[in-house]
Amino acid sequence: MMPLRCVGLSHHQAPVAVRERLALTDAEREAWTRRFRAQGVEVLVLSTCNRVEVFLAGDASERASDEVKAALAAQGGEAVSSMCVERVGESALVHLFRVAASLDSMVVGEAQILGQLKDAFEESRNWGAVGSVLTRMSEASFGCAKRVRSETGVGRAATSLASAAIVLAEKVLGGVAGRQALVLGAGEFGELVARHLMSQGVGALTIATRSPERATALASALNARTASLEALDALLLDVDLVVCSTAAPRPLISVERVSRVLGPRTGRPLVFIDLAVPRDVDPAVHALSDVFVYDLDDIQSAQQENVAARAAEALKAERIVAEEVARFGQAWAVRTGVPVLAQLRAHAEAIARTEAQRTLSQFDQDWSERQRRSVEAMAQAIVNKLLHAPTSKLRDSHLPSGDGRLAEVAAKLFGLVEDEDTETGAEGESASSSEGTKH
Amino acid sequence: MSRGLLSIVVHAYVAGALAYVVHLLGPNRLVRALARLTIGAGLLLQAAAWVMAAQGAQGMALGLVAGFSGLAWGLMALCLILDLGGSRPVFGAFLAPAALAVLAPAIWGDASPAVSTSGMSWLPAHVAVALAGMAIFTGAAAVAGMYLLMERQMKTKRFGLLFARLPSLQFLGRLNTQLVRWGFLALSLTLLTGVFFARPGGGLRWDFKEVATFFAWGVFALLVNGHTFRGWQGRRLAWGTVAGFAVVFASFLSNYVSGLRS
Repeated sequence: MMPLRCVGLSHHQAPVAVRERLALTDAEREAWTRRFRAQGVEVLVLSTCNRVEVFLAGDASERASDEVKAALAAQGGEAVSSMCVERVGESALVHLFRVAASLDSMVVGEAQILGQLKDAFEESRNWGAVGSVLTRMSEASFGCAKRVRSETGVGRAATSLASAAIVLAEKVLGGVAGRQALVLGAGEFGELVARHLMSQGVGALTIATRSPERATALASALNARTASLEALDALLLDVDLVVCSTAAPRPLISVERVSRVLGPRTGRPLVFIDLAVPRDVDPAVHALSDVFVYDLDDIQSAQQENVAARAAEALKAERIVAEEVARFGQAWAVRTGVPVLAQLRAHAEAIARTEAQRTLSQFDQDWSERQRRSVEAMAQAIVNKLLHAPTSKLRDSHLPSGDGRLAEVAAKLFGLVEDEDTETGAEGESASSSEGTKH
Repeated sequence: MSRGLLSIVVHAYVAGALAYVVHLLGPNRLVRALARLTIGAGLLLQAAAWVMAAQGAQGMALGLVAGFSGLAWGLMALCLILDLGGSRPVFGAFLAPAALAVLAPAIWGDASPAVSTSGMSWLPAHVAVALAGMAIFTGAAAVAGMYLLMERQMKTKRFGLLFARLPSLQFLGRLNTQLVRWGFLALSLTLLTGVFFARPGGGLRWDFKEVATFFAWGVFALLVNGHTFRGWQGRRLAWGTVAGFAVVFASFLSNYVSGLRS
């Protein structure tokens, strides 16, 4: 069985109120990675605003998954345990490929998840947490994602979370053209949204962030203004749309703050699009008159209308994922089957040579070269005949009609996993067999 | 209008209203075209019927049938204007059924005999402007209702059919404002023509109808003033429109309820 396991939860299982408790900082991601690595498995921690999932590879992955579940419960509360999903083997591999291809995303076809997965992989590699298994699987998933994007149109409609969010805002504002917008946070999401707003003809764009340098660089690139978060109250008086994507651990926009500006606004609607996890806007703000607050879960709900339009392309993408998973599975079976085959043959031939020598040395006579070769040939012939059927089966195990588990079973059956035990056992058997055939 | 012709008009309007509702459930160009055609045909037929009736009559048609059928015509015309001019067929799904509801009394009521307009030369203009204003206010109330409905969808985060089909809050709010302004203008002209020109000797009688009309004028004056000088908009304007419409509709109904007007 493919030694891959995936433990975690996403927006499919958990609302944003739970996911924001699981948002991991860089330091927490590293700590988790090292903690699970200590269980003797390869580890990749994928933590985004819509999912926290840990991919484990290795024989100890079952034990490590218990550690993951405990960590998730400790971070997010006991409710997380019932929401956690564990995928094993091919199911985990399919999930990895689907996540990379953005088929599991809140906005199917969005482009950010692949970059986030690649970043997570690089981080794990830098921390020494990935080996050959996760490396091969991750790289295969990146290739699958690339194929999905180039061969299907799944990425063309509602191209990103940013555009989906703006569509929702437009249901209130009737369009962002000519409007005043404020973007809180100049990270990757903030930049995406800012660029999208400019492309939609927003009247005036202000970028506010704790880091003036980052805001200035982005603002000059987009011909926008910058502001400090200290000026938030004044900014809220004039803007029509606020897009939040900071990394603040607690809400920046409170009910009191918004209530203060509602009077002067005289009923002008104010829309908050909260893309942050944890959320930047207190959910209670939505209850205020003429104020609308939408978070990631709301964007997903509003997206459902577009799902049908993308369904046909998503179907094509799912077929590509299935093909890539099957291709990877076959390559994996060959890769694991061939070493077992080589090990089995080497092991058997070693036994044959040893027994032939032992037999030849038991007689007090000089064997001729021809006689010596006959004995050795007989031993080799016994090995060949005995291994003919297993060799054919192992070679064919990677085919669709074959049994992918044969390599693993054969390794266990012939004791190829622990070489010392196998040799000791072989010697014991050889001694008893030679006694039986002593002449 | 003859019963036969009225029947054809009603059938055309019903077909148009149904088509708009079907289009709301699942946009379809053919269905939308059918709605426009049937409603347009109904409007033309109804107008033609009035012209024919006016040519043969010794006076002006007043009364419940004339009033309600005139109001229904105005609503259907508004519905078609919003579809053709604003490319917003969704309004048809709300306004066309409302117009049919308004037309119902005209279907089952008896036409009143024509009234002589001798000495009341402005009466036809007064009635026409009043009916136009009434249709505009009804449209404004429908749009205000759509605004409040859409706002409810956005506030409760129900992103279903209505969320998908209704225009944005900004569009609905702006349309509501425009209709209120036009309706206020029509109401002002109605009052002017009614008080000074449409009655022999002019003057006010302060019956229920006139009091309600002035009260409605005050409500809409407040709304227009509030929007222009104080920036009132959105939900406040929508509820104000609904309240003002209730008063102006009561004034309209009082035309046909004995004892409420002198």
